[in-house]
Amino acid sequence: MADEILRVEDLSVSYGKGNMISGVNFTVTKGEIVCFLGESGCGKSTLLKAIMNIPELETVITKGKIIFEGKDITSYSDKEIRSMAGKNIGMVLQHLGGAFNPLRTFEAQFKEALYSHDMEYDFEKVKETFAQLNLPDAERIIKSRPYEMSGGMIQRIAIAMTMILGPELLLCDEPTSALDVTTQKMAMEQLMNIRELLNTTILLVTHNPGIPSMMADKVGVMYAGHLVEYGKTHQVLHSPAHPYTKALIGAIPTFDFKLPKGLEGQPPLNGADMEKCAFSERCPICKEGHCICGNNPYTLKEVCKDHCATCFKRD
Amino acid sequence: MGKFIGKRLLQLVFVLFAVSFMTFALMYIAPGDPAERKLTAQGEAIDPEVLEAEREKMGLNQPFVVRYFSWLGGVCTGNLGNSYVDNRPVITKLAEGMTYTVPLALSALAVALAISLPLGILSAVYRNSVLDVIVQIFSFIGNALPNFLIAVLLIFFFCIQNSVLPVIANNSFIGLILPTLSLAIPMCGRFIKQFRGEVIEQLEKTYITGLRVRGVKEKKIIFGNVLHNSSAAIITITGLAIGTLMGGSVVIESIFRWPGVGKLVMDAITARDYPVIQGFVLVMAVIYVLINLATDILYRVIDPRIDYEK
Repeated sequence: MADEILRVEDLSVSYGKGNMISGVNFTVTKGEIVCFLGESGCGKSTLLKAIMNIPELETVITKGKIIFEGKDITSYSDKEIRSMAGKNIGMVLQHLGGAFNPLRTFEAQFKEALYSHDMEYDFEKVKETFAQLNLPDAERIIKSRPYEMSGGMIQRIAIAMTMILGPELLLCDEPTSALDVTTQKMAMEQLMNIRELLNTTILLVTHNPGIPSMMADKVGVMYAGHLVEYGKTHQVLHSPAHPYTKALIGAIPTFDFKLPKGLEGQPPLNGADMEKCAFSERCPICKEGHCICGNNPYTLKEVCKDHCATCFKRD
Repeated sequence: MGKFIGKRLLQLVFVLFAVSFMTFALMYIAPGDPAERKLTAQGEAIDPEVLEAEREKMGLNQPFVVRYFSWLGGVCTGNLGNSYVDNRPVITKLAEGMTYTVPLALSALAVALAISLPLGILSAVYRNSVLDVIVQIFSFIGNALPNFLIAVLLIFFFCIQNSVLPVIANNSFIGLILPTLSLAIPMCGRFIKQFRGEVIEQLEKTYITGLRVRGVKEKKIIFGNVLHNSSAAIITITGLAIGTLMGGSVVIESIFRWPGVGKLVMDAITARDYPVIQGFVLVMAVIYVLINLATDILYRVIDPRIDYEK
């Protein structure tokens, strides 16, 4: 496909002992925002780390391919991967305060990142980017150190850094989890700005199902190391097909003074390597004795156009 | 910063006052008669009258407070008193000792840093590699061997077996090599372990992941960030080592007959030469406080989060 930027094929990833994610398949079109949802430990962050794939993130791709801009980057050497980091594939970390060296000025850190990619440091460009992100007084900020800034400002500076480096693909690992609700909204708007201004493709991992409904074009739902549902945001969130997605959406707190339904039990620890469906123990359909798990419980099947799930019951 | 330095220098006065008082008091209550030791050392027969006259001459018959303040008054004018043994000014004797101790201390420190900084960093960066294991073994051996044993081994290899270096060569570059190595090797063992630990701690910080995902080059990560952030700890470790080295190494200076302050003070203790001991303690206190002050100032330069004014 001409405008396809990323294709993940049958990807299995481990941290050295057993797979953390297994058999993940999806494609992303240039300029799309894709959100990955799921419980803690389901492999969302591992998926992003595997796409980034720098050795220090400690992910080991045990199977499958990651095709970025038509090239299989899983076969790249460490040196090639490092040269892509930041410039072609950027990453916004969960703990933004830790993204910068606390003892050095932002100016030194901007220069360091740009010079590492043989790019020029241009203060006017920094100023312009800061202005787009509603960061006033660029002269003062750039000479400051991270400890002199608030969490929200550091986040915007991290996003500004990403914008200046200009990666085609931006990976965001729970960028809003440490922020309050109002700052979360601002952060989301900024990410949407990046897409608008630079046509950057964004892959975002979150616990909060409200975030994809606000900004994502597509949503992927992960459970125990498997991608169980993938499709257009509206379809996945409003007409969920997989029993897990239904349960997850049912667990969202509402303002009706009732406790959400929730989901009993815990996902299995070795879910990525299980042959049978890792959700079957908690699945309401299986519990009712109407199990629909087939022989290939992890193969994505089309629910409708642009919407697929590994398991679903047609009404 | 100026206010902070002023405050610290004022503190120095109180520290010195306390140190001088305690040293003087300890020397006062210590057993033995300096006048008797002096006469014995000079080979004179101990006649009670001569001894009494010597005591009077040395001011030992005066009350403690009078003796202390008379000595302190001298200290304020730069006079640390005269040695009981040879009647020479203490300040001259200490200065002479320092002309030997300072070059030895600085060369030992320079060698220790030149070896342990790169090895500590490499060992941390290539953690669990063969290089790391070799460096750690070296560090362990350096830590485990006492410096006198290293001195004896060095003398055996370089002076007795191969005759390439002299055992005693006062105040010359060649003579400095073996005492320098004897002091530097155990220091390297300690430094490597500490520097390695500090670099590993920095490498595990989240900002390093931030730098890596931005594609910052490894050289810039290590030299521009890790070393920058570890320098506060490195300065502390080095500062403490300077203090210890300036006190002179009694054992090493004795083995190589290096007439530094370590040997001077050891001889003074044996001879109960109180003015020399007191002068030495006072000078060491000044050195320690000034090193601490310099360390604090450098801390502020490295980490601006530290605000000494508050």
